[in-house]
Amino acid sequence: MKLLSRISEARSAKNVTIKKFKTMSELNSNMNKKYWGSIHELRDATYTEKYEDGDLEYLKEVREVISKEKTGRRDFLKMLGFSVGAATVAAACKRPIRKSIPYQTTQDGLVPGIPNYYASAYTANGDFNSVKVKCREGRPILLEGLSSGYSRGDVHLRALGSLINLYDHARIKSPKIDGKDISWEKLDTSVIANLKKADSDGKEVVLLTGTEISPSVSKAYKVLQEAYPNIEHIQYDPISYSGILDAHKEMFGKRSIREIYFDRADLIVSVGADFLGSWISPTRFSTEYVSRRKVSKENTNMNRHIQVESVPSLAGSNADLRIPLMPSEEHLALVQIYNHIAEKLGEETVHVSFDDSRIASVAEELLACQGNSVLISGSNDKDAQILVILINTMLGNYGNTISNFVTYNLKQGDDNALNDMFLRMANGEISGIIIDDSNPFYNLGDDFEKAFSNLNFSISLSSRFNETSRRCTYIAPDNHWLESWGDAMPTTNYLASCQPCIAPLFDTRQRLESVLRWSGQSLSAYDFIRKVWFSEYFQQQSTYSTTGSFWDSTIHDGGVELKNLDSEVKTVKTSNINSVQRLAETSTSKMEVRFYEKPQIGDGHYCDNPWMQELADPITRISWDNYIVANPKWVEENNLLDNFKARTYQRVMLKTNKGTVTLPIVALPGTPYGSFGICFGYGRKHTLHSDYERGASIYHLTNREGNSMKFTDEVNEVKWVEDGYKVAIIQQHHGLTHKTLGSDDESMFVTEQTRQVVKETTLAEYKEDPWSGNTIAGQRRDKWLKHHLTSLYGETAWDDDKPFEYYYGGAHAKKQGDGHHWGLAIDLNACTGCGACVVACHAENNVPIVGQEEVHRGHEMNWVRIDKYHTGDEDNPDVVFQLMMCQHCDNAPCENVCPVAATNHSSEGLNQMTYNRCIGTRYCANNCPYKVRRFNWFDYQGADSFSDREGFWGLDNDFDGARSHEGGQLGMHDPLRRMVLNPDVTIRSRGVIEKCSLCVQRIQLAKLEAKIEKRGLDDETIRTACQTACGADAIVFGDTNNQQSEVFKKWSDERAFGVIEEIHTLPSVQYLTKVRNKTKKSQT
Amino acid sequence: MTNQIQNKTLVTRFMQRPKQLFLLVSLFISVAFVHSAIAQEEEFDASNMPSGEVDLDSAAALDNSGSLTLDSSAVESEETAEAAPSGEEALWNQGKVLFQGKCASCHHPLRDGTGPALSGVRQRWIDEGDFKDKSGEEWLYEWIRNNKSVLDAGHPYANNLYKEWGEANMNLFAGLKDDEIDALLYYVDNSSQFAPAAAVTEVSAGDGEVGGIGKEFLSKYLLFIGVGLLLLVLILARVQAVLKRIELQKTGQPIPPYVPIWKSKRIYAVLVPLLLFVGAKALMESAIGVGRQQAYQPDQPISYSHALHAGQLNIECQYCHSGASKSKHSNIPSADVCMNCHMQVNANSEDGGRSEIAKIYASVGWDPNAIGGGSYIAYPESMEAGDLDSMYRTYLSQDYSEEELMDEAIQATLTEDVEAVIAMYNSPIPWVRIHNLPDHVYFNHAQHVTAGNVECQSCHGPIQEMEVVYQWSPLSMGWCINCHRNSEIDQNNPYYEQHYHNLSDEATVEDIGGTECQKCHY
Repeated sequence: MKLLSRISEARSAKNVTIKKFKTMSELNSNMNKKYWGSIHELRDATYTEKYEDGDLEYLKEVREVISKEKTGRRDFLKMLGFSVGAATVAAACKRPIRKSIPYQTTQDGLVPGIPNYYASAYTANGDFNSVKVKCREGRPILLEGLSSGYSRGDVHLRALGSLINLYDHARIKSPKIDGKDISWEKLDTSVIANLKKADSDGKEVVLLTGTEISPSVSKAYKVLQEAYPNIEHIQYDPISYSGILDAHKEMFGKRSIREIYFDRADLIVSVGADFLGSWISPTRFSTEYVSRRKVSKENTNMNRHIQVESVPSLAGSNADLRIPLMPSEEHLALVQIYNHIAEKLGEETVHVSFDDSRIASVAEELLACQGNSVLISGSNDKDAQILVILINTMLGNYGNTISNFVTYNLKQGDDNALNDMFLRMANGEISGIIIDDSNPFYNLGDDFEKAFSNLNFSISLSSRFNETSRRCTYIAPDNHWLESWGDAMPTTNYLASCQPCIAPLFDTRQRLESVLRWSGQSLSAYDFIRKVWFSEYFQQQSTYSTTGSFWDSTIHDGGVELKNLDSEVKTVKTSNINSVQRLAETSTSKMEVRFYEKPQIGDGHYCDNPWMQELADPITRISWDNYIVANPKWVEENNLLDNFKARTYQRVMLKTNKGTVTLPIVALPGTPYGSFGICFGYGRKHTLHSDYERGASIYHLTNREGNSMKFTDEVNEVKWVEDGYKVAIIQQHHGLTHKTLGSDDESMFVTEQTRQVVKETTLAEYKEDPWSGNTIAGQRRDKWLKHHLTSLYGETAWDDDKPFEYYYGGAHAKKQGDGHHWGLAIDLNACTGCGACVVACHAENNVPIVGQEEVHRGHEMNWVRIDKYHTGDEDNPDVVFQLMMCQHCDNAPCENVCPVAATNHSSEGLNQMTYNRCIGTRYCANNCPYKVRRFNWFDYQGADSFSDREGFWGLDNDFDGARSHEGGQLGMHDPLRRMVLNPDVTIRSRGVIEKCSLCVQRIQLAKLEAKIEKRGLDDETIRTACQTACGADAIVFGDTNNQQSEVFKKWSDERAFGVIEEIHTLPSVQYLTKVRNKTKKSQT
Repeated sequence: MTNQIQNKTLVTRFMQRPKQLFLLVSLFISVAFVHSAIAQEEEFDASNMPSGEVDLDSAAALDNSGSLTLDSSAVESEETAEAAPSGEEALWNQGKVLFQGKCASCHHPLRDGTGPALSGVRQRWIDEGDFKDKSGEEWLYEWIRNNKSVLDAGHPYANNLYKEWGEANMNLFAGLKDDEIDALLYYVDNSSQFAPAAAVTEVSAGDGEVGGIGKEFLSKYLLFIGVGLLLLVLILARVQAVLKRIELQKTGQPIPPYVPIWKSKRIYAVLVPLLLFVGAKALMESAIGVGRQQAYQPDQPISYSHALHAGQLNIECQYCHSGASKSKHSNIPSADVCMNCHMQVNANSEDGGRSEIAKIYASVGWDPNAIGGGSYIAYPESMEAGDLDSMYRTYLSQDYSEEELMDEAIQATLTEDVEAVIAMYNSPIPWVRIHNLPDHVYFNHAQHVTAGNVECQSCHGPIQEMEVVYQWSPLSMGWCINCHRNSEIDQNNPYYEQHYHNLSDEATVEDIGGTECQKCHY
């Protein structure tokens, strides 16, 4: 502060004119396209400086605290004396006796220090993900993609997050009756007595579960129902798919959704379905979708994706064409598409007054792509989904892009049955309820709470404390899925296996076994699953000829394809098209709200998961909260814009027909004027930490008219409540597009340069010229490089015949045969921005979670982040996601400024960070043009021995774990939580800089294995943690000194570029230009 | 006069006063002597284990370094090699190497182990092994290569042996050639012929000690000289002062007031910076040493002797520490690994090891009194405390005669031993960790043992001599780096052929980046 004030004084004294910042348009005049992060940046180019000031506001706080502690010379001497004395005493103390305890008996297949991998499958509330579990000394520490599995190597965010739920004090640790611990025998006796009594009283018992995709558990439920015929099994999805299922039931006779093959579709039209973020099976969809977006010179057969939606979603952000509409207009668009196509194909049409030329052209494109397109809709309205089925039928997509045989099991909830249950519960027909891991108190709200009071008994099978399990009389705690045997069928033709990777940590029993005990069966889960598999699924597969090999191989591989037993349904039941007429009614409302699902928090099940909370939403880049997104212009007109300098937002109360919700309002470019969006999953209660309870639940606002949950509603009023609400938004942290670049003679802040950080082109241009879009300073990149390198190193630094070999061999000083040079290639076209890599990095590298307060201060610790840039029209911008981590520059600006050489370069091209040498000057972070270095402000993980001293300076940090909370501590200070840490990566103490190491522990291990096995290191043996989570293969790691390697090929591609390489940092991370399929009818 | 002096530099001032110069120089020399004496003592502390310095630098060459190497087998082979071994000796050596690599974990030439004592095995097979159309000797060769086929063939002698030895399966050694088996059998029959002279190791260890004592003596001597010189300086200074006063008195000049030495500013000007320097250096060095624990030798729950197992019995390090060749950790073996041998091998009373071995039995839940030499307890967790007590008391009493058992003192010792044994019952053995690296250091055993071909002793010292293991190396970063700088890499590996084309033949670990931060710190 002093420095700054002195500078400003100097300026005013000398009356120096400060060079004015250029406006955005001026800045962009020499660039192809404008890129901007937030609405503030678009409006005001000087925002960066102001934002930096915002940082200083926080420092002022710190200074105030420190200035209260007056430290004079005598104090200094006292402290010096004390610390020397303390050190002497500490050194003179007896060294602690450390034990080294071996296993009592040698564990088969387990060598301490070597990880074991097991194929398994994550299932929870209708989520499914086939994964490879990495275990060290019997502890699961990471989930990696299983490329042979159903999810095609992709790892879902929530699957990754579920790992830390294993080591969690929110888990229920023993069976309970009325909140008191009890033995399993006594619990079983009481439960059986209750069930028998209900049976003899002739009262019903409801078994209320989320969608159950495990065939064995479903079978066990049937066994239970056989034992007690009065039990009715009702499934519900907190975020309902009931309308879609009902539509399929009506049209095809079977209540399940047909499998969609995105890799076969040349044209994908999604009306409000976020199929890359949250809709049905986003992991599988992402991999299939991206497989058609990796263009190369040889293969330009890229799909085209049109997203018609109101609130920007992950899928919408990846779309080639995004058409923003008001939430209520999504149905109208479907009707218009239907009409347009039906008219052309001579089918019956619906009367509709809505006419949008953009939608008409979408319909035209669909018509031009009959049989190779797919239309999906996120609506839960049965009639809208009937329209979708009719359109796809007219286009002939069934049998090609949509299966005629295979259906999803992932969503089976039935809202009709649920409503019926409420009625019967209110009438007293139901005496008891058994609930699995789902949380009806939270996501069914008042309806359920009222009905619940009429029950005689309630049994919870939950594994965690939540709103519901806390209210249940009996708790039979379930195992975590990593502790259980299990199986799952995401679709009707795939059987996935799930094996335990750790023995149960607590006195819990897996749900399947509890249900079997209550049915009077004594089989273990393992035996029961084998029985079910051998009796029902062995015949359905043709891969294995004996039950033994069937079981062993399926467990080993993680799953097996089944023959499909369903017969093909070709003819769609002709439906009375008039029933969909009501969809054609236009809304008169000027303000509407859309309720949506975030990929990481989902329906709220993961609201008390620190990894999921800390991961910023890919669209708004806000963590630890939910909010109302709104159109920026609308927000400005109503004076509700945030104060970006202080990072505070205004809170508003939004009133719909069903009720109100009070949340901060966030201007999100791309949201239509007058429409709002709120996500599910927040506002949970009874969690272990108040940060988990931030935000507000919106389940009470969801409209359940017509027996099915609706995701849109009218907004009656938006009322200002308060200002100054802190939101942990990281969109404007660590900006690198334009920066103040040091000083000249005139002033401290000089030439603001706009840097072109992302590059993009269109498919048409790319076909004409593979170099299109890849320019630096107006020159084609290779031409620029030639000029750049020859001017620096002389004529020998460039060879036109092998330009890239020379570039990376010459300028990077090493060539093939000179050891390794590690590098990354990131395909901007393949990255959907989901964020799984970020979480995988957290898990692999023990990256700390810092909590809402610290993220708000700009102290988030992510080693890899996904930057989001907007370009084009403010109301409907194109979005680019860019993975940003340490670029491992061969000419690294950070290395030159470290006073203690704590960061330096390795002979293998890595920018090394040595934590124990770091004294925390943060010069490197300031000098890093990519803003990827993170300073460890607190002892987040208990690396320092005296953890209690945190908070000493009044900077209370909730997540340092020093403070104890109900049920235990949250941070990595807690021994239970620490079990998730990767033992190969050190825990950083406070006060050091940390950053991406390119997973050096994996590199070292792979090199060692090669040396031990006396072989060369094959390409793609080493996979970084982020790479293992990415089923889309957007990230490729390898040795760039090996010219046969995949990464070298990508580096030599015409699309390759380094971020701001004009400043000669020589980054070891290269990106591939984004290609948008912008030209219509471009299918080849 | 005073002005003149003030105008001159310090040096010329001293040049004019040679006595003062002499004093100052001698003071410096004496301090330097004292300091170097201290420093040498420290150095000695850091390497007071015999042969330390040599081994540090010649890690890979340990086998050949002869005189200072303490591996007894290596010493033997060295000696025999020097003496240009006769044919018999060569055969014996070959046999010994084979025996130790393949057989020693279960067999001993003279004592029964997991398998029978092998001395005279050829004769036994010749005498009793004829079966079908093959001679006993032929059967023996087949037995060694593939004992399963011999058993399957129904060979009566082999099957009897198999039953006699608890149907324990023997490994197959299909790759052994006839001449190798000849060598093996020669060795087992003549195992004591060229027996290792235990004295050799002791002598070599003694050599180290002598060197150490010499150094210690020298450093004390230097300290003595230093202190002496310092005293001399003080005396001379006093003498000079007195002389000067006398001179002044004689010439009738005014005598300056007497300033005692502890009030002399001149002395302070020299001493204070000196003390600060010495103090800072000492502080820094002791600060660096915090957390290091060379020579740390804690008590262990079982008085396990590496000198016996690794030294005398010559069991391969990696038979027990099997992780070292493939993993980051060189794991401490689980007690069931001990049981591979100790199922058969019981201590006798002379060894005094019965109560120690009983701890292993307790740990794995083994009843040593059961018929047939002991058996695992079927339900170890459901044993009553009283039964346990009597079980292990019976076993431990075997060391004493009935009369001895009447003695109260012996009874008390016995009770103590039994309690110590039962404390281990059905639980892993809580060994005390000796080698501790800080958390920010990544060390991988496989990297050094397998990829780098480094002998265990290079870092762990003469482990085969240690009754109780202690930390032999400083395990400091400087120590690591030194070795990385000096150790040549074994380039006979396709890995280097593929990725490093331009390495010199003498390339060291440092040349492939082995001293970079992120090779060990991440």
